[in-house]
Amino acid sequence: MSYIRCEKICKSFRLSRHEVIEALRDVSLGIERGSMVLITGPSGSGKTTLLSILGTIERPSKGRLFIGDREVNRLSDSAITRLRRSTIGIVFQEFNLIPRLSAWENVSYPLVPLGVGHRERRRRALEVLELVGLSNRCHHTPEQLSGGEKQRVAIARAIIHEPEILLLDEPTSNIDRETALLVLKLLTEMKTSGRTIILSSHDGDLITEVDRTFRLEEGKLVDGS
Amino acid sequence: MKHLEILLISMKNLLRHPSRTTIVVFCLVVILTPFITALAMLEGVRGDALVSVEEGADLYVTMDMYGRNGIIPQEVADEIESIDGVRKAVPRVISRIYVEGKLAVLLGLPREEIQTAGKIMEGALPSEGEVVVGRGLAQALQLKVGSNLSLGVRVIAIVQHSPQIMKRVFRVSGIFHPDTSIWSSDLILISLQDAIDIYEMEGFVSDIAVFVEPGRVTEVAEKIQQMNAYFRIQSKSLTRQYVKRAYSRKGGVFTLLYIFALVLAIPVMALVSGVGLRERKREVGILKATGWSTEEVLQMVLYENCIIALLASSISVLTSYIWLKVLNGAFLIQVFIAEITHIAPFRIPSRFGFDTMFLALTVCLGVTLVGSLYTTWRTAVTPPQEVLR
Ligand SMILES: Nc1ncnc2c1ncn2[C@@H]1O[C@H](COP(=O)(O)OP(=O)(O)OP(=O)(O)O)[C@@H](O)[C@H]1O
Ligand SMILES: [Mg+2]
Repeated sequence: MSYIRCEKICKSFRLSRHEVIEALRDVSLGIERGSMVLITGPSGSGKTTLLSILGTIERPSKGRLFIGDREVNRLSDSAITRLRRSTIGIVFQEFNLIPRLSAWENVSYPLVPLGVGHRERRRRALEVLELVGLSNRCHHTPEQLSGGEKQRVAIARAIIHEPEILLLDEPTSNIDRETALLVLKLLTEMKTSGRTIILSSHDGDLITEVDRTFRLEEGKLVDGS
Repeated sequence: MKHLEILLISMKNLLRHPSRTTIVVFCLVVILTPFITALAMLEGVRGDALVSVEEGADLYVTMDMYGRNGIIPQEVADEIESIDGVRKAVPRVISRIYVEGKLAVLLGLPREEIQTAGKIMEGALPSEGEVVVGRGLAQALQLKVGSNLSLGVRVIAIVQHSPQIMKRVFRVSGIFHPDTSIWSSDLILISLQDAIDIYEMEGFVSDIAVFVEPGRVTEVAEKIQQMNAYFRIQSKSLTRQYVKRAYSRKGGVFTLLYIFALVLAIPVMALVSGVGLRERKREVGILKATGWSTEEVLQMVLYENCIIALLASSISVLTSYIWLKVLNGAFLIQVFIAEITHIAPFRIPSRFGFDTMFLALTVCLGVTLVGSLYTTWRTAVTPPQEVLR
């Protein structure tokens, strides 16, 4: 059985009394442990929505999600928190860094609930920032960083606690080819160390070395090669 | 370890938003300072003794008269003094009296008890036909040492509905120092015998102040009661009760007004802290998405509020300390004492106890927590992506 499984997941947003947007319709898929998968599809097809549900930060309107042997929809708030803290790292399409907080602090915040002390947090944050090629920007705040730099800070934050599952929403869309390749190399390395990596991208150009590609169109899974 | 880390992050959060933090603290200080000032003042008033002559009496004995406090034979003082455990029993005459339309407290004490008042006044102690007056009264009536003071002592007849008042003229022999206390501001101190003469209560006094050896108050009170079932024994002086009643009535109005202000303050605070509400919500969403639990997020917000409350209440206590000690309670004392128009003619008593600080802190915390904890909790239990959109 797959490590991550979606069973007939639907997500709808109610805009008004009569208007309902169905962002995802009956999406079922399975993702193996230690694999790298890509979710593609045109803008508005539901990639972010699917990624958020897989990352446990959004609740599906219908359907079930399993991670390992746990059914996520049935977990309590604190159980989901434990799951996120140990297993999941997310890079948002809009990065979502905390404003006016230095890069290294942004990166280190996921370690706080794990009980890691200030010094150790800083040390590890600098380590992962170096990994994404940003060691010279660790004291900059998000306002002082370029889009691509913000994205890499967000990646550093997502990997600092060494999660089992790494989700990246459009990780290559804000950065130049060279940096994108650096990021992808990093992801391949992480994959080799046994982590499951889920990416989304509206064009799959750069991202070639994936085990599977899922294609979404208007919220439906049209291709699961 | 984790708690300390969260505390550090809370501090960092406050520093990250310097203008918001400053505004919130400022608003709290503005709301809190009058409250603490009034509180410290009422506390001081409560704790302040009438004059040193009266300080520290443990019991006051009067006699029941139609179910109220009535006059008591003067010689009872000697009988009480002979009780084992009693150090001293002082007969006193106390009355409220109008002096040219102004309410004052008349206090008659035996000569030997008046001696101790000597160091807190200018001029001389009152001998027969003389009075010592409080600073407030002296100012209102423009009295100086040596002036004459005419006291309307008693209603002798009512002619066509208007009372005919018997007057007696006294010489002002001394005036209390302005820094003595609020009590002596409207006080007229007189010898016991003069007071008894004024009221024609030969052989009787208003009450007997009893000074008891430490730890024996209850025992002595029981013995006094056994002497006569009609004795009424109280542990606070009548004068204090008079003055306190006037104060607490105004204090009550003040408290009411204040509760109203506090209730208003909550939405104001919510508005002020809501300036960054959207940003705060996003932060909570980010923290939740990156593995923080709801409790940890709440803990962070709680710490922030504690720091703010600590800061705001200390500043408020400091400000009101300055207000009272340096500005002598200007503009606030009028709320309590109608007769004062600008600056009080006496030192406003005040006391900044642990209670005051604690109350200030609690009020601060209350006002800030009411809004923030609930909204934070609501945000924290919402799926993060919904918050972050
Ligand atoms: N909160 C919301 N309320 C209403 N509609 C929403 C909401 N979030 C997403 N949608 C809609 O759901 C659909 C899928 O959105 P989603 O963000 O998942 O697309 P996407 O594939 O990530 O697009 P892009 O490539 O532009 O990032 C879109 O049509 C969007 O308008
Ligand atoms: Mg998207």
